[in-house]
Amino acid sequence: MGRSAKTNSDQLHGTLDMLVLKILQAGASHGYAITVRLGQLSRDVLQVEEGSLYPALYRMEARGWLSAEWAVTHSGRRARFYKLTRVGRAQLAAETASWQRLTAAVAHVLSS
Amino acid sequence: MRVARLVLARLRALLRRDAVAGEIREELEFHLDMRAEQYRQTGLCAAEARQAAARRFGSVALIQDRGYDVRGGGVVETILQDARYGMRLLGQHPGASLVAILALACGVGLSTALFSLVEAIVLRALPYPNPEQLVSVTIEARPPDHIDRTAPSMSDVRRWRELGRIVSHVGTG
Repeated sequence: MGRSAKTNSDQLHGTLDMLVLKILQAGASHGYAITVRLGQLSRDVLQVEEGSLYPALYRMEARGWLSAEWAVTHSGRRARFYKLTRVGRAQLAAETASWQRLTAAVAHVLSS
Repeated sequence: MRVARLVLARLRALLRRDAVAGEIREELEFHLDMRAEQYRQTGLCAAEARQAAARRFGSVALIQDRGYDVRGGGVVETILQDARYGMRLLGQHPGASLVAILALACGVGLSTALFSLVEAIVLRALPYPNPEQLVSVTIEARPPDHIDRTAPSMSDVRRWRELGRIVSHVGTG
């Protein structure tokens, strides 16, 4: 925790939306499963305060990128499942493209 | 479609505030339970697992508020709250409220009356074609010691009207 974790989450803030969209591309999922998947995929390098995922989910829902509905999990509990909408899919494609452009440019500068 | 859904969601939040807040609470609670369960499977006792899950989650109250900011009634809810608060305050001080309302009523009434007057006299164009070209004509007679001003006679008016060269229309008033 402490300083390094904070820096990490600051850097992550702008990309959290994109990562969540990417994870949901594989299918509908609830918030907890999204954090678990995020941890697995990033090999636990990307650690956000898990709670901050939810306001981000609500924001994306309000923008129409996600749709949400309550359903029952395997363990028999009610959870809110999020699904990528068509708008969300387009948003993911746009964000991915601009992210790749940005990182390519930064890498180019750093390696010069 | 998307806008309609958004408006519906906001409306629902307005009408059923507790339901939306409860939903957010239930969702966060589910997350904490799941995380605690995962910690318990790694060998922590129930209380420790719960604590660890809470630490990893961050402030539940804060998240709940930030979540409600997005999903709640938004601006409309804030305005309604302010309006309700205002009404309560008015009710608590009926005397002061009455004075304030009367003062406002007088102010608005007076402004309206004044504006109507100024509009009729100054702002509204005169009821003639091309009112900006309007001139008024008086006849001046200058005997040695004073000036006599009189209105033109009807025969003058008739003549100008027939000529139609200097002025396009002639009226009396």
